[in-house]
Amino acid sequence: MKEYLSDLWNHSNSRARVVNIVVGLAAAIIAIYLVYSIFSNLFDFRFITGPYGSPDRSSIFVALEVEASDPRWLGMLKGAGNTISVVVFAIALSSFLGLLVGVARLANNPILTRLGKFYVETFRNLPLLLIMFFFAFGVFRSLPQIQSESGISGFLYISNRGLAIPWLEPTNDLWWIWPLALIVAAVVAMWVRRVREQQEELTGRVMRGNTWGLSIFVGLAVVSYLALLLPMRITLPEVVQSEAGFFSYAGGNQLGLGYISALVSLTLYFSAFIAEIVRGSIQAVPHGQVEASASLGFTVYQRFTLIVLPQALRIMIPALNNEYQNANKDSTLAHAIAYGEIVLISNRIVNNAGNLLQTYLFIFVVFIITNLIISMIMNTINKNVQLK
Amino acid sequence: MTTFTTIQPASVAQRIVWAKANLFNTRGNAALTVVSVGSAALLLFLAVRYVLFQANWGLVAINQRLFFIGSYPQDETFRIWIAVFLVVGLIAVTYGIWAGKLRPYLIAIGVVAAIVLTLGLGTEFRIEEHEFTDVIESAGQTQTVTGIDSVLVVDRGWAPSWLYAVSLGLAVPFGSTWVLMACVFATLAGGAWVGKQLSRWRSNPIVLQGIGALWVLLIPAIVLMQFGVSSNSWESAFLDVLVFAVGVFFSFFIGLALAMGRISPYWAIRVSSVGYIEVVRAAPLLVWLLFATFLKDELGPVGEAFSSIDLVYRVMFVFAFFGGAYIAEVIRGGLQSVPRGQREASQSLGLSSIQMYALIVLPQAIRAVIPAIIGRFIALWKDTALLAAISLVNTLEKSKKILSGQTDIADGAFFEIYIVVALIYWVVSYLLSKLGSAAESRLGVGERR
Repeated sequence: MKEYLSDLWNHSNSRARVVNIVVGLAAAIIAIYLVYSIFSNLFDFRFITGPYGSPDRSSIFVALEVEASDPRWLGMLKGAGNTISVVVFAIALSSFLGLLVGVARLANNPILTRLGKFYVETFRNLPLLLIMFFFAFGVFRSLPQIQSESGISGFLYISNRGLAIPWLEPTNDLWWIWPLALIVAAVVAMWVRRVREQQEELTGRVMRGNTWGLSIFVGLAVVSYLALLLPMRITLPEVVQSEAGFFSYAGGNQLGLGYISALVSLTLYFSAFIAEIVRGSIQAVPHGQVEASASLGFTVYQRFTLIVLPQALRIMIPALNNEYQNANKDSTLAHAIAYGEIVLISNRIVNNAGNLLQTYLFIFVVFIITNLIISMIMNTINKNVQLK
Repeated sequence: MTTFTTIQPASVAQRIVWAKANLFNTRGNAALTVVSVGSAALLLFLAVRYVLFQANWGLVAINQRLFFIGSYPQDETFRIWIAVFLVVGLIAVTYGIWAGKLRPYLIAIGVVAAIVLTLGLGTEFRIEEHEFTDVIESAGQTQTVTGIDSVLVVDRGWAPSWLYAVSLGLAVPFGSTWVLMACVFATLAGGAWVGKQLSRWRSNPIVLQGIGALWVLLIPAIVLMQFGVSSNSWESAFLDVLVFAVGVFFSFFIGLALAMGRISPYWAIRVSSVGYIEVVRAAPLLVWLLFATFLKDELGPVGEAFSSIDLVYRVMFVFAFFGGAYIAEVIRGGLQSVPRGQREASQSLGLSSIQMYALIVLPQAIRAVIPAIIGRFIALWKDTALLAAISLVNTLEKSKKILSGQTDIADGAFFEIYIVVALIYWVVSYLLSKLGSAAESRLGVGERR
């Protein structure tokens, strides 16, 4: 028996089989145990049809505000929508700010570079949650009260209740067709632009792809706007006083403190990281490229936009992909400042209904999907900017 | 891209030439200079005005103990002091062995010691009461409210209150804590001197391995020492440091094991390591922390056993296993950077695979990714702030408690509180990032051009 065992262990073939079977079985048992636990409360997904219970009105999009009467599954979907609506804007803003700071750190002006370094070192070394707390429980709470009407009168107000901005308002029931029409118009315009540019490359005739694309987009947008009988209009915010003497905003869109704090903190925090990525990838572009373009008579601006930036993009995009996924995941911290994103909504549901595993499984799936989408978009961009 | 010289020229004339060449060489650059000098000056002015004249540092000054150890039992603080001495001594010895010159370090220690040890002398706090009258307008009616507002005033010996507060509470009035602080500085200086004496043998593997072993043993020692105190009273910066230390220690070894699992010759180990790493990295840390907080009996007996552990230990568990998944990816990068020839050479020398990895491959792999590992540790340190989101009282949560509990003493002092909390987090991660870049230049990783 003992001999048999030592034979089993000392022959590489049988050893591999033994290890694979033992480890594989153990891993499979753990996995099955987890899946079983999730699905043994299961087939108890009934809780998701129950009412959500308490309203969460902190979204930038009115449609994403969670009502007390919403079923729980709708609440969770709206929570996911709220996460996405803060992440998309945070990514856009922090990329823009990060590009500016990253370029500033490489400017030929020693004072500007030091300011950039100060910015990066400050925000990179602070916890994101601290920045969020600072804005949510500090800065925005100490803003003036609503009745002082601070801001640009009739256009934009800021107070300790949040920010009121001009917004679009639907005027008839078919308004939702218009955004869809805009997407279709954009696709058509891009297609026309590409076809004309290809023709220009083939024949050498000037085809004005950009002009054509832009005018087709604007034309389709206007035509569909008119055809749908003016589906949307701009509403401006104003401060009104009710009969009982209470002040509130009317019209426009109100961004809650949670949303603004989350957006501002995510933007500041991730722009510091993106600035470092931008700086690193611009520095990685061989210096000969700049010298060559200077000797060809390019201006400083042309050198940067036509020669350096496209090459830096190639290096930057994989790192940016990583950082965007981090931004997506770190947006969950906004639940600590009461922004109604997916974790906050899910926690309420867990508190009320107690279905921890199913609810957290949903969060998990949402993050896997959103991260996959981010990485798909970034990989597509990556494919387009790589050398062919 | 940067073409300016960073070395400051000596004479005034040279300075003007330098400024003309670097700051005002083109019209655009001159405009940039004016704008950035202007905004920097404005920032500096606002900051100085705030720190010196506007801020009320009293709330910070009186709560310094809360910022560092929270409500740790008074007569058990010797445990923390022992930990502080161990850490400080080990840092000093290590620095002494590997740093080049000792004099600037000793001078810096002396200056800081002089400031910290004299700053708190003669300091006193008192609460001043002011009568106030407020006119409140609501719902069209005016009301006059009178009352007594209490304002906390730091009565200082010689140091201005802002200096006292911004020194992060290290400045202490004379007493037993003062003596202990003096001993800390003595340890910092003496340890570096001892290290200097040892540096003669720094290429000796016994010294190297001894110091390494002490560093590895340090964290379990600190944690084991806390077992006499209920984990409920681990609070504030101390809690952050404790969770961070445990997270660093275990996540490194878990990461190492997972990275080795990824390149294992057995597919079952490979698949389960990859599966673990990908699953853990898919969800945010906060979600894992909340999951560990809320878990009761959902996962059957395993979940029940897990949920019966103290929350702090569960959190440490999450930090270790979450950090491990990230460290594994970093170490994998290092393993891939070791040339194939190294493995082939060690195999042809007849080393077993354990010997090959322990003696040849892993030392090179880990050496290549030390800066990246330190980067992960910085992220782990910043992540300790998340404990505030799961009702553990870390520095951030403590600051919220201080703010909400004492608004009657100094209302609106949130700015001062958050600045001090931010400094506590910032200083540690900044020092760690400096350590990372020092390691990078010392090890010659990532050099270009």
